[in-house]
Amino acid sequence: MTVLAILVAFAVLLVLGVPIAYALAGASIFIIWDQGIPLSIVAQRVSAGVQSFPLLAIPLFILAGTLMNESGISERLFSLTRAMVGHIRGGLAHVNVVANVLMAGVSGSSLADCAATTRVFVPQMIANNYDKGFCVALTASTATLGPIIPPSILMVVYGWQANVSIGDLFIAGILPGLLIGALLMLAVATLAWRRKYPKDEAFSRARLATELKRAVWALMMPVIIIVGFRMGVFTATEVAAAAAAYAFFVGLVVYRTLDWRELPRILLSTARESSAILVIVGTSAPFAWVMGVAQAPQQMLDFTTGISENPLVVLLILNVFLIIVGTFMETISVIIILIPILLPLLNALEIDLIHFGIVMIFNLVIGQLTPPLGVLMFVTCSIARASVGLFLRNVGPFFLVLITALMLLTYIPNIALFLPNLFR
Amino acid sequence: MVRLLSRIDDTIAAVENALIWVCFAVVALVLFTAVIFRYVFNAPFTWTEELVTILFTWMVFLGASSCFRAHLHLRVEAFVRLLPRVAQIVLGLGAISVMAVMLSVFVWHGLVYAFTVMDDRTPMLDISFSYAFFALPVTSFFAMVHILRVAIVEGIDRTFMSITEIGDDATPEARS
Repeated sequence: MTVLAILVAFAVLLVLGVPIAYALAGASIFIIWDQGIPLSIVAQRVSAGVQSFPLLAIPLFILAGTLMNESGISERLFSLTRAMVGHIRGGLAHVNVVANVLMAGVSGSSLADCAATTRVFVPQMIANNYDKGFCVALTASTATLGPIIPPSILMVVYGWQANVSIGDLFIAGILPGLLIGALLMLAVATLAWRRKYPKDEAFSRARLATELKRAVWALMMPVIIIVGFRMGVFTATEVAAAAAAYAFFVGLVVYRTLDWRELPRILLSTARESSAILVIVGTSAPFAWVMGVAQAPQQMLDFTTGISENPLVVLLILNVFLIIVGTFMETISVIIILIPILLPLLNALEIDLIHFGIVMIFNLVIGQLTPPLGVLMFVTCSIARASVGLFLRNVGPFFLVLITALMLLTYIPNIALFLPNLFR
Repeated sequence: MVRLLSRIDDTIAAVENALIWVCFAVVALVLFTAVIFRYVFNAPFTWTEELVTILFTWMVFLGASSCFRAHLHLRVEAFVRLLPRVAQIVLGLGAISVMAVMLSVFVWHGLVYAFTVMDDRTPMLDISFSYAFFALPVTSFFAMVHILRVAIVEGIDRTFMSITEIGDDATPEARS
């Protein structure tokens, strides 16, 4: 059984159009059957793959975000950011970036954020004389902040798979998230100045105060999550349960915008959304197992260290490799499949796993902006009814900014590691 | 024939949907209560992890099967989309056959495995491990019915299309 045979089986299933989760299972079933190993091992591994307590954090964080959205949180956060930065030139575009930073702190899913910001911002921006291409490109680019700023589903998956603290990952994501946000605002400012984009209403301290008051319950969410972890006693799953309960309380009691009768629908759609992710986690278990038996991790180590043993060079190679993989594959499956394969290499070169986690996650999220599998691109384009061509003609400057940020994160590990080391 | 299939499929989906949200609600509720008891009353539950893991397993696999109806599974569509419709149908037939084989493996070997661990009991609650392991085979059977229905009613080439390909608006109300 060779690594190549496994990859070919997997690729054939993907080309047929089989869902990713089942392509992973199918490839391992084929290899295991071919080797004459009893097939019940597949059934056992798939089931056991999801029976893991930390993974429960995923549906609970998604639930917390959905409950917040359903109770009108996003609209409040948007009004708040409008009062904060709307008065700058290109105001609505800046609002878009800052709102995404705040939204990312409430919700765990970048796709949901992306859909929400597209629905709210793109029509408003177009009404204010921004061109559509700029709007969709910006909205999709700012959505990359979601998985970097805690809470983050991708970090839960990474931490679980690489066996590092999910709490440390969450805290490590804060500074990189703010840095990427600042760089995007810089790009917006330049473009807005050159294209003479309009300003929004003038700044008013009174309005800012009112909006802050309206949104304060939502803004408490990231604080609860971070404090929960920092108390050092909460596990990721417990923090997620508390976050969901908090969102439920805010929607039902404080804002009173959540309806009891809507709960079954919200629970169902959240559970389904999580299942689509979690079934990939389950089916990659037998896949990772056959990859391990075929000695893929060892080959990866030998191949890469054969090119260079300098961690800086290896990080560059890995970044290029991940960008390419990320454009073809869905993010979570890449993390689950590649982490066991990369771990021996990362350990051999003493690359910090928290630092690498931030780099890898951000890298893969950038891949969601580009075809062929650009989920963020498709979501914004389909909601805003824009063509992919229009998107691609406008995404260039933002793409450059994101790549620059990626390089900064890769080669200045302290951007990610400063806060976790400080708290440790 | 198609109408009978649709009715069976709808019944399965109704049961599935109800179980999914109830499982999730119980999981969330139990976990939150456990947090309160552990940190506020300093009296941690010992049995929650086992119960929650079993319900969670069911939630995930029921959800996975229900995602076939709702077109929520992710796939790599870039290649398929480049082809003419006839080729898409041919590939679709291939994908459906592969899925049928795979789901049969899950049903059969999943049952075999669940029966093997029938007598193994969890340490705290003293219930059989097989409760969790029955989820995969049972829901794989549900998934087969869903796939058959979607393929016949919506078209072979559209069977595994994800919601991003179809577009939000195209989702029939029946799938909610």
